[in-house]
Amino acid sequence: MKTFHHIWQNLFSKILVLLLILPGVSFAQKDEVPGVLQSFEKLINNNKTKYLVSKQKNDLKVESLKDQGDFVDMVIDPFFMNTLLFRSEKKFLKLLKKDECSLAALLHNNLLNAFERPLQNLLVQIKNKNGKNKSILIDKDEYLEELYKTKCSTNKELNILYSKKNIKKTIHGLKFEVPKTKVACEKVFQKWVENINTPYLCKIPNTLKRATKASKKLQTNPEVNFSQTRYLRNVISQAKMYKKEFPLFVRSYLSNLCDGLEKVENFCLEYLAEDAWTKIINGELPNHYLSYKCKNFLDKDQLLPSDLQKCADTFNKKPDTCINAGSKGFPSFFPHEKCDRISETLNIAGLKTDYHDCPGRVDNEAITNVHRIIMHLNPSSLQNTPESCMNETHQTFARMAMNYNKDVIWPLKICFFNPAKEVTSCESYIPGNNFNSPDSENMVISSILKITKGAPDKMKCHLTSTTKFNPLRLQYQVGCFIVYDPQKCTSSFCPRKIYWNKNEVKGIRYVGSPNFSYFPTSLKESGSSVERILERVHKFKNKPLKNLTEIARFFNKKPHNILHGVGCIEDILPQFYSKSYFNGCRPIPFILDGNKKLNGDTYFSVRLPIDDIHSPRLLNWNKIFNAVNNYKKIHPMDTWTLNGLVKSN
Amino acid sequence: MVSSNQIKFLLLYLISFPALALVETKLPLLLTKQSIFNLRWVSLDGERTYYQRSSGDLILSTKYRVIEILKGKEDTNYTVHSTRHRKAIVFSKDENFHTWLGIRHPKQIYVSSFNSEKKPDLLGWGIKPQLHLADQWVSYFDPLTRVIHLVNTKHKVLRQQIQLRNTHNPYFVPEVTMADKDTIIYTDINSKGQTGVLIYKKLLKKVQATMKVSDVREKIEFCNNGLELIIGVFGTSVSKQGSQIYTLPIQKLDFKQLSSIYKSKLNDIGNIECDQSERKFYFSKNITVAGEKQRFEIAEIDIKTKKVKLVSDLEYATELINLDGRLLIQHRGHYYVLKGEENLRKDDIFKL
Repeated sequence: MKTFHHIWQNLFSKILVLLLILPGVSFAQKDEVPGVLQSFEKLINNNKTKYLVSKQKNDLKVESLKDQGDFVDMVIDPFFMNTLLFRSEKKFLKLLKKDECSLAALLHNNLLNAFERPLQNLLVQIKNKNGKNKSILIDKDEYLEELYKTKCSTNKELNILYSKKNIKKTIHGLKFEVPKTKVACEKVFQKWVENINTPYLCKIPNTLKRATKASKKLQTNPEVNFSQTRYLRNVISQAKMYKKEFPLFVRSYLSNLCDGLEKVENFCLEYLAEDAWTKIINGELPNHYLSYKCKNFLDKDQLLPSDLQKCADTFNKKPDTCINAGSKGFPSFFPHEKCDRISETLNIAGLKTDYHDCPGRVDNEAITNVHRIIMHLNPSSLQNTPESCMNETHQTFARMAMNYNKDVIWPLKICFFNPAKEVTSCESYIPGNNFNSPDSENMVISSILKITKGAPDKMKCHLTSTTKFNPLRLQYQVGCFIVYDPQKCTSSFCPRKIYWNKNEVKGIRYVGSPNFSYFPTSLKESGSSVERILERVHKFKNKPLKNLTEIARFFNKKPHNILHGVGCIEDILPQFYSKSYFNGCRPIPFILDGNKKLNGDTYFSVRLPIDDIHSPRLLNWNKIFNAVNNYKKIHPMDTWTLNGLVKSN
Repeated sequence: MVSSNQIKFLLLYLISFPALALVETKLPLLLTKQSIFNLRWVSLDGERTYYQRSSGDLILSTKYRVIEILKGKEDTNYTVHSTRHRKAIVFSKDENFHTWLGIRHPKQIYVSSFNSEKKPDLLGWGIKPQLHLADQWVSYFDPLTRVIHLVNTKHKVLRQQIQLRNTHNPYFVPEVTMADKDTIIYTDINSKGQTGVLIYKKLLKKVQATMKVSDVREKIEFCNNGLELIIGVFGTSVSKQGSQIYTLPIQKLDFKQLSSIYKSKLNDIGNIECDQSERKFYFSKNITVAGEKQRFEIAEIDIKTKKVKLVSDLEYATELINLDGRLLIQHRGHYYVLKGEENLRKDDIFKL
């Protein structure tokens, strides 16, 4: 009731302002003009009736101002004005000011509604030289053009600036300030409300919303008439252009601004929200922090903007969701952290993670770690499917190793008896399915079968799981299939069976395990450690960082700086892994990609290579220091294994 | 005279290597003449010492003699495990310790009789080897196949395998203990992701589920002191599930008769370690005050009186290691002695 009263008052203040300010509106008051004592419902009905009666009585057709002869003034019919005010979204009425030009800007940008949608025509009253008034229905654009002749020249300029041709440049020149405090936010909000650009900017989110509805309408109701279809298609194409031209941050900012125009709190809530999920929606944090988790959670390949919002809402309202959800098909450590803890960590994280890997399928954790480092420093596009993720992780590492020294670093081979040469031959392979890479496991097996079984040149083997493979099905009766049990398959341990045209192929052996030093373990072999190869192949420099001051300085230097290290898992996750033995340690590599102070302690965003890439952990310095220091004690070269990674010049 | 520049350099050096700065504690440091980090096992009386060499060998030093027990590649890493029964001793050997960084990386598991000076017998590949039933049985876990292996230490042909059902967590390592030669108690994860306690009856070849946690974020730990099975249920994430420890007579194994011995609203780390000489056990207890730095100390619980006593003062003690009855805490690269002789300098290895 209180809210209604509030709206009521606001609306009437707007009406009164318009009645008083809009020149000429007051001259036409022969009929009863709605008063404060009328009920809202009655007012709307009254307006509608008046409009329809007026339309019937005058048999209103769209007329042209050119046919009206000379007239001295033109105003929007007061009842039609009321209709506009009551039928339009309240948030946009906030942009109405004490002049006609703000109304014109709202009309120009299709932010006002009457009974017909979209609003094409306006009921106006024109006053001729003799002082007589006449109500006519005219095209909105004609009204605006007439208005610009005498008033609102700024609007005309703005129309040019926000035309299809110039809009990108215009918006590029605007500053979308993200407030950090409540006071700052209120100031920013007030500036936008007073800004003459705002109606033009609000057209963008409004069109995006209309486009979603338009697409649905076209899909569900194909029998809409031609003009309607043309209008809907126009809205969709305009929305496409906006999506293409403006980054998510701008779109989210404008959406938040225009949706929150009614109340400053609505606008500020988003910017003062501390959770990463809302920040992602606002475009303040990278979209991929949420999108992969969201796709997996909703079980969708493609996400609509509304899906991301849905996920953000769920993760905020039900933080336990993340414990189980978000990594189906991409095995990793279980349980994950809660959504609120992940959100807290993502707020400080800097690792670029626009992909989804599957740590549980890769048993040398260094391979996953290196994959993540390279994807951070030299991002590339991946397929990110449960079938491809193992191969993709190995590919990154293997490419680096093969570029350096194939035989020393990459020992995984498939061996077979070559009947042509009468010797046993071995070929390097990268575990997993990848039809685009001749080194991938399925392609290496394909080429072996061509040699040993005379398989056709175009034949390509498929890596498939025991759960999918069914030799009774037609699709599995012809061709080559490498069958593995996903529950028992990692990169170095994966019992497989190879079938070629239904028959099991024997005599093909998988040999080797991926062993290599992460940090040099001896002077003799220091050149073949991951640290050195990263330096040589990818031109990264390693800088040992030994205390919190150095680490804090390193993180502050560049927002995406990362550290990588090796430490004992028993110290990193003591709640899950115990040492049990004297000098026991299971070394594991990790990445630190952000830090923050909390309860008098320093915490890090930690990416363990056993964790889902989109579920980082927030761990304190004690854990990291103990882990690195205890590993240092048993390291052959007594090396401090925590380094900052920087790109060489 | 020391110049101010030298003092500055020394201060800078101390700041740069915080490991050198020891914490203030009443606990004595474990003292050795040489690097403590090559030691793998030292008997309480100091007569038998196992240590590893960077050349890859595991050496037994006893009665002024040095015996090569196992041989491996350069930088091979070993662990050694025994119990107060001193019938058998278990070794794990990892030739790729620094070159295959993986929690699931299996190691070679060996066993020999406690006093043997011969090369031990290879049992298989796995992690977390443990002795059970007065050293008559040894268990280890193969994380790649997710199978618990049990082997009789005397008659190696007597073997038992238990396949875990866990498909939720590829990094899960089960707790394993034995009530008698036919009864194996272990943990597994069910289809909902909850950890539970199961009993495998060898003769019946049947698995019986006994208890499970209510929340997937809780873990279960065991400690078997020969009389009681001590079962800890600890919350593992920052959200508060709390901690609870129960005892159960090992001979009856009636999980309806679980007796609660300790409860806390905070998530303790756990890592329960039974004292093999007394009816006491230890674990890492969370003593963090809300809004302050995380603090964990080792707590001792007397099973008879149920009294809980904090026995460490390191501010951050997450683990207790039992080295032949000597109780040690590893903290920031140092070993502190909670119980037992702290001076290993008299061990004969260091007289070599």
